[in-house]
Amino acid sequence: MQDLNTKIYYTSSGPVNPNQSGLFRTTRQMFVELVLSRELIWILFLRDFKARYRQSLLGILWVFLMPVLTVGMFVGMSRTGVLNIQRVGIPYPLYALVGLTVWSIFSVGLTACANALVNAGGMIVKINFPKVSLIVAAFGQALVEFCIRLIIIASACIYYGIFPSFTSLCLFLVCLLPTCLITIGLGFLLSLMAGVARDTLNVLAIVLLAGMLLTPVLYPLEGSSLIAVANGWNPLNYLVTVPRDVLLMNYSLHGIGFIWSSIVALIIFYVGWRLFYLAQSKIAERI
Amino acid sequence: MSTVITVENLGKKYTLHHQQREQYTALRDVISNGVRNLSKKIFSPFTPHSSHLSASEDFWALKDVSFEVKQGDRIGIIGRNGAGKSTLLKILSRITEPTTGSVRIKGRVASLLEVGTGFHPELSGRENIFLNGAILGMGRAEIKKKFDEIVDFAEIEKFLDTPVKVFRHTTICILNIRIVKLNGGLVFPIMRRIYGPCVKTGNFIRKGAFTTGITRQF
Repeated sequence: MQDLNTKIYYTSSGPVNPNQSGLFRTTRQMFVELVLSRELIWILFLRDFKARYRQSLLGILWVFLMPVLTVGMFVGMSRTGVLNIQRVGIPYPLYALVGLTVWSIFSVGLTACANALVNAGGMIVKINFPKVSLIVAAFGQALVEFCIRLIIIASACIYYGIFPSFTSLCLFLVCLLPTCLITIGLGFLLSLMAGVARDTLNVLAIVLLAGMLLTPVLYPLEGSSLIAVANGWNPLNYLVTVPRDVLLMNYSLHGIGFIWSSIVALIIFYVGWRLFYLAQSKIAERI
Repeated sequence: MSTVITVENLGKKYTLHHQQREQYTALRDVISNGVRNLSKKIFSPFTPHSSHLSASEDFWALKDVSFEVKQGDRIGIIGRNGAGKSTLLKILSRITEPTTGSVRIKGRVASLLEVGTGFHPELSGRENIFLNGAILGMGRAEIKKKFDEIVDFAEIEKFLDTPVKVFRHTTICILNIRIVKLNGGLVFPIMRRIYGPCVKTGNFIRKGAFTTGITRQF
């Protein structure tokens, strides 16, 4: 990735490049590194994808089954009166499916990213390569699952006769960008933590489960209860609700909330990335 | 001949933590140790504390190492266990950073610290060549150009589409070395181990490790 005649000069404080100085030097280095490693990201993503889906038919099946089963459970519970779910104006299974699919980008993405460094441990201590590529390639797995689940959503839309317009669909996809950013940003931080303390991953699983139940993913949380009020401050609330509203109802009441949540997502993404970039040379010792 | 590698006052310090109980670091240990240290500082700020649960010791794997390597040189670094050879190679390969000192390298580094890293057993030979090449920093177009060369050298034409897990170990070695060499590669640290009978007991042990680096300008 470097020219044949470049000089590599590095000291204890990292690589010293006399050509780059001035404002936003680190940010530019981060971007250059990311752009240069685009082929590596693609190949790592392909590697994980093939390894995952080549051997097991159940792998793909599970991606379909999981949301269907989860939503099925909740539909069953609401029909038998175990859970009292408020009316949402659109058929509940569709509401829950879309919510779950968007939330899955976050939960599957975060889990995959947090595991990325730990899983690649052998490579990290033996070869020098930009570790950013591991995290971004891991997030790709979440995108693949998302695409597969879009098929389920499409079938549900056809079944219930709700057809989003082309603009709503595009807007829906655009509104998912902040979710992706916040997932990758937190993924950077968690992957570093998981490298140091292995049981971060167990804690993460529980925290994600709690998060799914406490944010309006599978059921609306409105009103004056404590959880509903707390969700007013939860960025994930808006990042899940607004895309769903945009797709299924063509409007959303939470525009302002979405805007500040996106800003928070962008900040978390930048902070996580920068921290990761600065810490990546120390990873090989701690893993 | 120009100088290709310049190492000045290189030092590498590792901090060893001696944990009395746990073998691995868990999140609860990190948090509880932090809380414990904090409470000690709050409640008795004037007493000197030594954390009895995790005594740490500084260990200098390399100290004040300086050398120069000219273009075309082949050097070998020989030493007993714990001499710092692997650490030096890791620093040269930019896997870890030095604690003190600096390294200047002219050109690309392709190292072969262990054979078969980055190879994924489930993927085929062809896919692994691209994977390994990409990890080492070769672009896809570059690998395609040199693909035939690699396959000829390792003589795996018939096996390009079979999963790598059925390859013999030596084939993987040859494949890996070839890809690394074709990286345009200028400096590459390689590790080898020497086994021989121990003088005292006659047991067959590892006597030391022998490291080679080869430099070549393109």
